[in-house]
Amino acid sequence: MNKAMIKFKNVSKKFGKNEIISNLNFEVKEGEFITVLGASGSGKTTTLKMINGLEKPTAGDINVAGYSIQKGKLIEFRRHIGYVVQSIGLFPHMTIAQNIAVTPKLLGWDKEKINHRVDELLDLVNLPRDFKDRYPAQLSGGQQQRVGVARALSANPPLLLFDEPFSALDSLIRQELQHQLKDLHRKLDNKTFYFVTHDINEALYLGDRVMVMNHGKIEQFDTPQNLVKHPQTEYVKQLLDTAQENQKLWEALK
Amino acid sequence: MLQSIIHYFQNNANEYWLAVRQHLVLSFSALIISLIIALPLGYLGSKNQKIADICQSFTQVLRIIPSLALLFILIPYVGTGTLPSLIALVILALPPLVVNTILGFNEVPTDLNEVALSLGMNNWQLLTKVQLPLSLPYLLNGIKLALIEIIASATLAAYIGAGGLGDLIMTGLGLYRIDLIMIGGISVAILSFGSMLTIDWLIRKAARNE
Repeated sequence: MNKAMIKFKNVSKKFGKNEIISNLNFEVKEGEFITVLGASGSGKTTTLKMINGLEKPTAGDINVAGYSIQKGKLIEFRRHIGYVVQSIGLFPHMTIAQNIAVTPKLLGWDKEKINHRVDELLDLVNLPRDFKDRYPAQLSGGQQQRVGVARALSANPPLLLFDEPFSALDSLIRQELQHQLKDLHRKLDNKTFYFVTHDINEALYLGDRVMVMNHGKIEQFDTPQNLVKHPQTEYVKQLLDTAQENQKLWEALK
Repeated sequence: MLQSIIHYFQNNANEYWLAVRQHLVLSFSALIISLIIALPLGYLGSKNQKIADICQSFTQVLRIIPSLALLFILIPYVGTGTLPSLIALVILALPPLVVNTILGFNEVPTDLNEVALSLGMNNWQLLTKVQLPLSLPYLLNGIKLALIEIIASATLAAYIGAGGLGDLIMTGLGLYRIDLIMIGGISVAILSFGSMLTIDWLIRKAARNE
């Protein structure tokens, strides 16, 4: 059996008096592609940020790759978790190669190893190698986010966190990137992807399992098939209905 | 007029360059000292709203006090000469430096700070690799404003015996020698203008990739 990669035990998070996350319990196995579906304010991004320690839980215990987040050395720890965000977050004053090489440099890799890794990653995310010396502003949004994914993979981390990485891109590019990300997950051996989104189709398409969140709680955490066939709560039902509503619109227009 | 200026340079070139050198040394010493104070203060101000507020109100008060008044206020405490001039110039340079440092650090997007931390940077690496380079155009703008203020006010420092181009102007005023006043005044203007252009060029260079 696969080991657990992420384990949340009775985790709560408050901002002032507002409870964003209440008593969250779940487990993600090594190698799984998890999508987290929820509206804004559902606590999905806060949950993601607690995995790499950007936010600290008010109560409870978080265990990632066998380390307790509260006790571990956060800085060293983060170098082994990939992180991709909606705003892409490339450093504008660094070239593409320098952006990708941030974590390897922090880990003290030598130049040759870094150069080799940058080439390898550009190939992996389908970008030409001569992009290396360009600056982020010279790339399109889709290309920039490919660099974002390459950067997250740079130190070959076992776990990657995605915070709505494609939602700012237009739909054609988004779909292309979704396909390629799914391929990438299959290609890379045993890497855990934790992918937050508010797009129901994206969540159902990408996830091995889908976690539906609402008001800081998990409504259902199941495979896409089970979710569609056996929605367990009213909220999940409503969500699925909206998707079907769209389907009807398509049919009507044909 | 032109003739007497040429005549001055023929006979007193050494004196002139000494004055320019004194002026520059005084100005740049003041700039460096104020940078050493303002950068950490601005960094703290960008993290802590209370420090930022104190800096803001302090700079408001400083803007009201005229440069000359500041120079004279210091005489009873530290006497005359270079030291009080230096202190006065540093105090005058602090407001634009602190305000622009706070602004610069605040302009670094929150996402980029978070991404930098997520990639495994510690606070020092975050500061030197991300925050400083990205706020550089703002810092340089602060340095520009401070330097212009310093170079202009350093002229007045001659009144309390710090030397520099202000000496020429004062002597000119005393002896009613328009040529000396012109030489001093135009030189200060050139220094001021030159430093402005240089830093503007640096700002354009720093901002090119953003």
